[in-house]
Amino acid sequence: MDRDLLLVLGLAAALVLVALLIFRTGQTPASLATGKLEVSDWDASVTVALETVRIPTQAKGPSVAFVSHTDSRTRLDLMQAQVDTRGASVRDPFLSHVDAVTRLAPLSPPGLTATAAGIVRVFLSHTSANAALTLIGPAIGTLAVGKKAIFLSHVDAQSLILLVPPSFSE
Amino acid sequence: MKYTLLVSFALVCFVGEGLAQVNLVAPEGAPAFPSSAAGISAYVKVDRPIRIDEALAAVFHRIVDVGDNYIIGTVEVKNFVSTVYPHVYVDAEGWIVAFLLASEPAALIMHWSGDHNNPTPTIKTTLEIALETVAAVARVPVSKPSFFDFSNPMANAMLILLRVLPAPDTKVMYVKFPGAFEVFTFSYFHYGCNYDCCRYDPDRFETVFKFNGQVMNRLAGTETLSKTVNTLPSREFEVNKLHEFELSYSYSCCENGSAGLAIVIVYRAP
Repeated sequence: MDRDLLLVLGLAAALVLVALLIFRTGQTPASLATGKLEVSDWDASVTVALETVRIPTQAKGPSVAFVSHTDSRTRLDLMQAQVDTRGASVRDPFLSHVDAVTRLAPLSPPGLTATAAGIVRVFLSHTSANAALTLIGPAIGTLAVGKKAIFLSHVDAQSLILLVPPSFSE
Repeated sequence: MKYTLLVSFALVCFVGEGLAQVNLVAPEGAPAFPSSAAGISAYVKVDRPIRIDEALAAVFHRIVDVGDNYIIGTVEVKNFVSTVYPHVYVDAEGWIVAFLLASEPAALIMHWSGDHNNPTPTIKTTLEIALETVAAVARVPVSKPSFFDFSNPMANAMLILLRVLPAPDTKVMYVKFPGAFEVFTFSYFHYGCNYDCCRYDPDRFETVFKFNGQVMNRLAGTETLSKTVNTLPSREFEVNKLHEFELSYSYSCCENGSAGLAIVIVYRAP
């Protein structure tokens, strides 16, 4: 007798719980159990799986001069005699979409071999007319060591980047 | 003597996307792909080496970094609503990854199809288009890319929802996530436009996006296209609750425009 009563009470409690669940969430126990995402009345819907990935490639340092889309009269002023000696540590002049009369002249004498030791990459992209990159010698080596990349993109006319001499640094 | 290294840059009239941006440049020997700066990404690994050369560089709208064995830049992807510039990473080992920055709303992946008067309810992503564009120039065949969100590595799924209104109307849409789900980001791309309508009485349109009855974004204008791409706090999107999205569109004159709403939700399903 007591056992039957317990059974009835148990069933009643379960029914109350289910009713409460439906009232609170608006979902039937079945839909909760399925755990499905509900989407309605959209024109389109897409579920995309996100899959963990690791890109293992390690960066290898740039080692080539790379000139892209250079227009007529563009002048890359790394004078041949100086590039091999003085400019040895400037490893990657990269110019892209350089417009007319643009001039990159970072290796003007004297002495950039010693001074530009820390600069491993000079990169100008979409440089417009009259843009100039001036690495002022002879003091760059002390100042710019550790500065691994100088990157200019979409530089407009009369833009100027200066690595200032030592007197400004202290 | 204390040796202080100080480099000062004087940048006069420096315009554009330059040094002040997120650092995507990899030091030599470090992972070439900037995973800490990347957000939603579409990627493939092709089974052949890719040449990092000038021809490949030309596909980029802007080159961010280049090394011996990789290149990173932005690629222009145009549709009738907007022009977006996803980043694309390519390396010599065959990886091509098109990605949004972690700071960019994930809804920027929505590539609107059709035209301003007849938007097509088709979901295609700007990342897929950027990736396919670069792969074509690199002359490598690519299969359908996989996706990953580097800024939410625990997320395992992304839901993209789209509603377009090619004529004045109000539509209500619903979404409900089960309680066991966890939402990481919730962003939207909302646009509205009307063009070339009344010669002497320029047309004015209005489109409103409501979320759970609250106005989230209102766009209006005359003979133009307006858009908003934004990320909402993920706490706004409670799980185990039916959420209501409403999109309305109206104009004052004759018909030559549309409105659209794309929702992107990054989440983890059990």
